[in-house]
Amino acid sequence: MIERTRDTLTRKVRATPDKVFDDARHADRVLIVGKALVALCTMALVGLIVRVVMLQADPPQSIAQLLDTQRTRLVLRPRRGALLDRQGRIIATTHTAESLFVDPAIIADPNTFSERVGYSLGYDPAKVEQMLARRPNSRFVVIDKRLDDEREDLFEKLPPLSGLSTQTRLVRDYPFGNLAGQIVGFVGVDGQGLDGLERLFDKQLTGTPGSIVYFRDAKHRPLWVDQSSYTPPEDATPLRLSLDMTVQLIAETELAAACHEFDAKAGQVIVMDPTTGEILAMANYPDFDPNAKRQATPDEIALRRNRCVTDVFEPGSIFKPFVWSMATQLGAANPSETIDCTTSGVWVTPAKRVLHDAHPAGTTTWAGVLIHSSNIGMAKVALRLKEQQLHDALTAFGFGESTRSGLPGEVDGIVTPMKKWTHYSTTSTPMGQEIAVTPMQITRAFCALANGGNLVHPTILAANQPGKNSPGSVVVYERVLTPEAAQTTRSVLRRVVTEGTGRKANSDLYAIFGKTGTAQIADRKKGGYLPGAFVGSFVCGAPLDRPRIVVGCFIHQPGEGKNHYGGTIAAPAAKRIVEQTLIYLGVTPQPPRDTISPSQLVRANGD
Amino acid sequence: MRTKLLLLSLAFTVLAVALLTRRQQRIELSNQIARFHHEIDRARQETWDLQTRIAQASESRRLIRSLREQGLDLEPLTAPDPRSPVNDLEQNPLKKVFLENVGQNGNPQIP
Repeated sequence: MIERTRDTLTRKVRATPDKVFDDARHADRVLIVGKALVALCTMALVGLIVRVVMLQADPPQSIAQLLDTQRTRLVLRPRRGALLDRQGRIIATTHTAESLFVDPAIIADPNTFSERVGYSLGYDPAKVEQMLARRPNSRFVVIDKRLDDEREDLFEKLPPLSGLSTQTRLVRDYPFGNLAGQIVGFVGVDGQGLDGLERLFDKQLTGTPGSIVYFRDAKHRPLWVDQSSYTPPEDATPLRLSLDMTVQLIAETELAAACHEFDAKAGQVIVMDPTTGEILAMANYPDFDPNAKRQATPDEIALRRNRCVTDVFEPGSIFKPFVWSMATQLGAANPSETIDCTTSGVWVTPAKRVLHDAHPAGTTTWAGVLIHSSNIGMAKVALRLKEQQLHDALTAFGFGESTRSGLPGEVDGIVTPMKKWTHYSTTSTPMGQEIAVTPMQITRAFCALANGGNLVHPTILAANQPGKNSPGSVVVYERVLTPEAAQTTRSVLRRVVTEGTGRKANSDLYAIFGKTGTAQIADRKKGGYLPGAFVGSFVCGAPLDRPRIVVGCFIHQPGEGKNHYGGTIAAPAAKRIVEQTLIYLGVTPQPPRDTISPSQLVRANGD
Repeated sequence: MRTKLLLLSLAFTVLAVALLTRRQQRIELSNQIARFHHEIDRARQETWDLQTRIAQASESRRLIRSLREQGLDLEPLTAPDPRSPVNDLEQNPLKKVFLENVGQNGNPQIP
């Protein structure tokens, strides 16, 4: 191009030398200016690129601060895993709720503000003002932790009010309210499990939070998402419990009815599947609603306790089937063997202890001892066993140690160690004295009689867990009785219901087998027993030929003047629970043929 | 020469405008993504709320109350299906283990 310019110039020089010379100088100048401009532009661009790199790599403090105000890191909250019953019904779930808050710093007149908020949203203006006055320097005063639907609608319709806003937060809800309240437990404000299953499975129920970084404009509106720093939240998988809320409702309704009828202070019901150890229902009376506002008063703390596993009691006659079955298996007595239980109902043991029977059984068979719940008969046969054999029988059924159900607060119960046995122990233990058990232990041990002699481990988790290997799918059985001994005991326990102390549990629909018990309540402060305080209990299974459920019903401290025998206060409730549960479970009713109609029954008086 | 410079500048301008347009599109797309994220999160939370409402509305006692209020005299369940999913022995792994190791034909060890 330069060569062509020179040729042109040469041609022009020939024509007019002065003009050509001027044109050549001008062209050179343009060329130099052009080159300089290109160089300047290049330098500016290079400088710009260097600056961009510097700003990206190591921005100055002031710019970094500005960038920070435009970046917002948002924690994406994971959903706490739901608790489901065995049918998939939601027992505990997490969802969002709005809380109403105020920033007092931007309120000009708290009095007018409180009145406006109060009258618009249905709060007491004086209380709102009081809340604002309590924390005048705070920028965040919560007026309502959880707006109900009605107030949420009112707030949305309310014209914007400076200083008043809502915040979305996660809340835990228990749709079944007080049903299984003590078992489910509750969470704290931060969503951490504090009691019951919420606490036990806190780790499994807690998800992994995610995060997202927004770039915002000057008005704080989100512009775009920083893709590289986006981590999605991982919600926790729901946990399926072995509880069936329909069976739970049946159990709680019948328990409450029995407790009201007999003016009892407390009661428990456990419904178990004897073959798997799954707990289908676990009811406590009085109940506890995890949705209710909690107060840490001693009364409420006591109410939250799942007394099915945390409290022990002296079982009384309900304990007899275990000693009876073991003595039969060890050959200490034969079911048809006759035992003299005395016609007076009084017998003095070789250790000079006087034993009484509430209803003298006279001379009866070993089966009759259990049917009529004779203390004397039990003591006479127990004396044929070695102390060690008797002690081993108790521990074999799992008494004196936790059932390993994993339920929070579960205690071991008390079995007197061999070295502390007195000469009374051999005759006391067979009738359920000198021993303390939880309702869970008794019900679990009864499962062994129902399932052919295998001690199951109770579990609160269903076998089928959604989407993963179930922690409840591992099952361990410990054989404590031969199938024959278990079968024999069951058939005698059936007679307890048809002709013995448990007649009020006799059903028209299913063949129920069970045992009643009435025990005094120990006085923990002074020793001995509390006067007039009893636990009436009944533990049973059904149907006889193929037991599907075992029900333990325990009624504590019926009111003064009320009947306190297990056969009267606990057996009818247990019968109703068995009938309703088996119908619900799809077990076809099979009217038992071995018994007279319940309408022909005479009143059962005792245990 | 001027024409060439002009053309060069024009080319640069077009390039710059194209780049800026692309950048703007990218920002708008990111903004859309941000809104979608927000929408997804909101929809997720709405699903939770709906689940809770359904659970509350279908709670056993509430159903019983509703049936009573409606005066529906339902026939009692006398012969339910023993092979309903929850009662079916074969669907419960624990039962299976028990039957395999302990019981015979669904019966506990009864001689």
